[in-house]
Parts: sequence; C-alpha cells; structure tokens
Amino acid sequence: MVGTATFVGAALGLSIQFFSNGVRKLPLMRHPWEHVLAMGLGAAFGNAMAKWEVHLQDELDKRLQEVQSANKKRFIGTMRAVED
Amino acid sequence: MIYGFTGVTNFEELAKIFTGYKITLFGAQSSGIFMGILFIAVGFLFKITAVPFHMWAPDVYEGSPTLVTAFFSIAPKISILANMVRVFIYSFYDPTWQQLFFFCSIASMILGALAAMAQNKVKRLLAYSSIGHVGYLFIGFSCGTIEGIQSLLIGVFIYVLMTINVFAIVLALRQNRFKYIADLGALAKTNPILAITLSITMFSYAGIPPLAGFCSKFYLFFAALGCGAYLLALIGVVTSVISCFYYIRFVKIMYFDTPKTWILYKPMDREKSLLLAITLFFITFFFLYPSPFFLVTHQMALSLCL
Repeated sequence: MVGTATFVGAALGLSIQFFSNGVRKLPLMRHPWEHVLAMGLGAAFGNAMAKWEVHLQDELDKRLQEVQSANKKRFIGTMRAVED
Repeated sequence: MIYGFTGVTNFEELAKIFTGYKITLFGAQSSGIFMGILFIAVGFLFKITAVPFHMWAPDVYEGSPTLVTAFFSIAPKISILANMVRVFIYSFYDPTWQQLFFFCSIASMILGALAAMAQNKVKRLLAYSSIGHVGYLFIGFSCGTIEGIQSLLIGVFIYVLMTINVFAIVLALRQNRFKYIADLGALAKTNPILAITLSITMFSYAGIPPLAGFCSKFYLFFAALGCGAYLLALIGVVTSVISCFYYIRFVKIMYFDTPKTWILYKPMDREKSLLLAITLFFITFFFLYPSPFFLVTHQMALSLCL
C-alpha cells in the first residue's frame, strides 16, 4: 500500500515536471534536480493521500453510525426500529 | 425582510421556525417571508449567472481583464453555491424553491448550450459555458437530497479545476493577441503539448469519459434520477451532447485549421506550467482514484444537511 502510493506519487511528480518543461518548450531533463524534487514531493503527496483516505473512511463510518443511532432513537416504536 | 417577519437571523433558529411552515405564495402564512426568501434567491441567482439573471455575464467576462474574468468565473460559484446550500437546504427547505431552481437549471443548460454555439470570442464562449455548467450544478442542488448535495460538491470542485486549467491556457496565450477562437489555428504545430492540454480540458468540459467532467455529470444526473427528476437528467444529457459541438470546435481549429496570420507564442512562465500540469493530471487521472474525494464530499454533504 505504502509502496504503491510512493511509486504512483513519484511517477506523478516526475510527469508533472516533464510536462512543465515540455509545455515551455525546454529540454525535458533540464535542471534534473527539479525532477528529483518533484518525485519526492509526489511521493509525499501520494502517501499523504493514502493516509487521508483511511482517516476519512473511519470518520465517515463513525458519522454514519451516529446518524443511524440518532434515527433509531427518533423512530422508536415504528416498524423500522423493530426490523433493525 | 426575513428578520423583520421572524425576528431572527440565525440559520438554526430559522430552520426551527420553518419546519412544517408553508412558504408558498397562496398558502403562505406570511407573504413577507416569501418575498424575502425570493429576493435572497434572486440575488444569489444573479451572482451565480443562472438564467434568467445571466445577462451581465458574457459582456462583463469579455470586457474584464482575463485575470479578473478567471477569478469571478471560479470564486463566486464556490461561495454562492455553499451559501445557497446553507440557506435553502438547511433553513428554508421547501418544495416551492425546488421548482424555481429546476426552472433555472433547465434554462441555464439550454441557453448555455445554444448561445455558446454562436460565439467567436474565447471569453464570451467561456462565459456561456459557465452559465451551462451552473445549470448542471443546479441539478444536484435542486434535488435537495444528500446525494444531490454530494454530486453538487463533486461538480463544483471538478468545474473549478477545469476552469483554472482553461484560464491558465488563455492567460498564457493572451500575450500574443489571443482574443478569437480562430487565433488558435495551428496551435497543434506551434505548441503540441499545449494543444493536447486544451483538447483534454475541452473533452472534459464536454463530459466525455473517462475524464473528470464526465464523472461530475454522471453523478449529477444520477442524483437527479434518484430523486425522480427524470426530465432534468434528460435535458442535461441532451444539452451535453449539443455542447460537444463548440467544445470540439476548439480541437478542430487547433489541429485542422490554419490561421490567417501566424502567431508565434511566447513561452509561458513556470508557475502557469505547473498549474496546467497539476490540473491536467487531475482531470485525466481522476477516474483512477476518486475515493478520497467522494469520502470528503459525502462527509461535507452530511454536515451541511443533517
């Protein structure tokens, strides 16, 4: 999971740097240190996104649980509460 | 007027007052409240350039400096839509406003699709395109469901990124007398990467899969189907097909037309190139990894509506 996020993020960062050089009509490998920087930033971004997704899923599950229990309290005595 | 007739301005207090309260004109317990809400709605619709309050947009978009045009084709959409969700979904939730926003949505989609076909200037075309997109966004808003609000949030975010991309291109080309669509002739020969970028963005605007624009329209139309607004979804699909004409016209001019006078484009600066790259990669690869975005918009919709 971490490996995939790092690899994809680095590839994205490198692609962005290639695109930036290409659209400005510069040699694609001009200033190679910028490519390394972009790969590093991309890898960091990819990992951050992966962590954020896990965090968001947990928060959403908690939120939906809260909403469901609030609805159950409101509908006490109805068919819906009995079924659940 | 709302404060005068209710005595409160707090959204929660207003929501409590209007729970089960008839706001229709002929059954209203207070026509003053109805008029107040109508004025608020009209003000928001003017600002967001929704039909029939869109008249100012093409002329202002064309006449303003491009940076200013870019700003107010992006920023007001976000702020006004967020504001409208708070006001009309949270406080004044009523089927009366749904009919008004259905009408505005249909009219905006139709006008945006048809009027843009006759445009030759880039900024005017983008103005009508934004009017059409407001129509699509109103599909999600007027559903009034959590899925509708989520699709609205998805649509707004994708629209913002597509618009940033297209205005970055317009700004990059602006230094070379770029005013008419025909000035794009042979861009594919002078700057092929920029031509591909603009092509992909136009395809995304047109809603061609698997780009981000298609995903946003997909969710908006499905939200409409989920709440029973079949006509809205049908008109949305038909106007999307019609709008393909003027979006793909860009591609045709760039790749198959030769301009009357050849324009040598100056190279763009690094910041614009990075902005273009980030937005282009988002538009192109959104369909591969949309889940964080869906999760955050789902949470936002739950927070706004519940």
